[in-house]
Amino acid sequence: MSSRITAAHIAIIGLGGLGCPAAAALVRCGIGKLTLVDPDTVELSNLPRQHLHTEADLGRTKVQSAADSLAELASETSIATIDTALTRENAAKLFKLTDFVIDATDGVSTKLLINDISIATGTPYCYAGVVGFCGQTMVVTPDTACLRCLFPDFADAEEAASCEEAGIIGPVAGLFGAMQAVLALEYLTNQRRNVGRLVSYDGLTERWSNISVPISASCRGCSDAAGQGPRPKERTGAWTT
Amino acid sequence: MKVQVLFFASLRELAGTHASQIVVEDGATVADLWGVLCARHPAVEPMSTSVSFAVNQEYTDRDHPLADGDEVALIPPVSGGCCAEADTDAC
Repeated sequence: MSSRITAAHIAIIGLGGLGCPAAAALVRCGIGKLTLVDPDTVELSNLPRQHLHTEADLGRTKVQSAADSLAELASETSIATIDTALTRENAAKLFKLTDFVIDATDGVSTKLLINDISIATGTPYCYAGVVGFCGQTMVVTPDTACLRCLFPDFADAEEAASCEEAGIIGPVAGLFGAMQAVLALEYLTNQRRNVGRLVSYDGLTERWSNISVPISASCRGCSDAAGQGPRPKERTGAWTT
Repeated sequence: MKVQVLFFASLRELAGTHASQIVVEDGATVADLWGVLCARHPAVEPMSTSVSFAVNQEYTDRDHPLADGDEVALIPPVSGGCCAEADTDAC
């Protein structure tokens, strides 16, 4: 097993349909440390697609439920939990301590927060979104396009398809959560042909798309970094809750 | 000239199809194509500010000139990831 994997620290933001399969895959691969972030508790409606939680976990925090399940899968991985919502302040502290972040959240504002703090701290991360039978994912690094380059009006896109309104097919979330784990492992082992590329899937047509996304000179998120080389990676500070 | 249009995610639902061959004038741009699509599928028009475009698997802006035979993918942002009941009518 690569020492880059066993030494790596990954933060997973959201322990739902994306975060559960991503966390399970990373633990089984021997990742060194996971920090799980989610303020929610386990509800009955979560169980069909959030496989780290069971009926016995109803009412428990998702992060503690997931941590217990992950410890049974592989005890070698160190697991930390944060059961509060992600904010600009706590995200900056956490991201500086991690090698990679997985955005397994639901909702535009949190996704843009993760994107912006990732850029500010120079921490690579993997965006993903799923709705119905469709999903998309992209790895953002200090020298690639970011989510705001890809969707300049994401923040204003009330019609942005969210599973909250449109529903989600569990296996599609499982597929994309597993893909996020794959992309994280690729990055950690210096295999980066997929970074900065948007991968989309439509289950009803069995169609995949893999698109190269350039840095936008007018991007509000990262234009300062465009043409100036990789954004700096700060690795200081301590996480406290 | 003819281009092949692929609709992803909510755009497929709004357009009522996953793919369509569209005839546009020579010299047409991606923006011109979007105008044709909005006229043919008015339900997609509210996505005008948020949709992204890829021509032959490369992200492009709206000024990009099209060529005969191009494949144009229309990709809306997707934000879901952790919640809600399954709805097989969605997407």
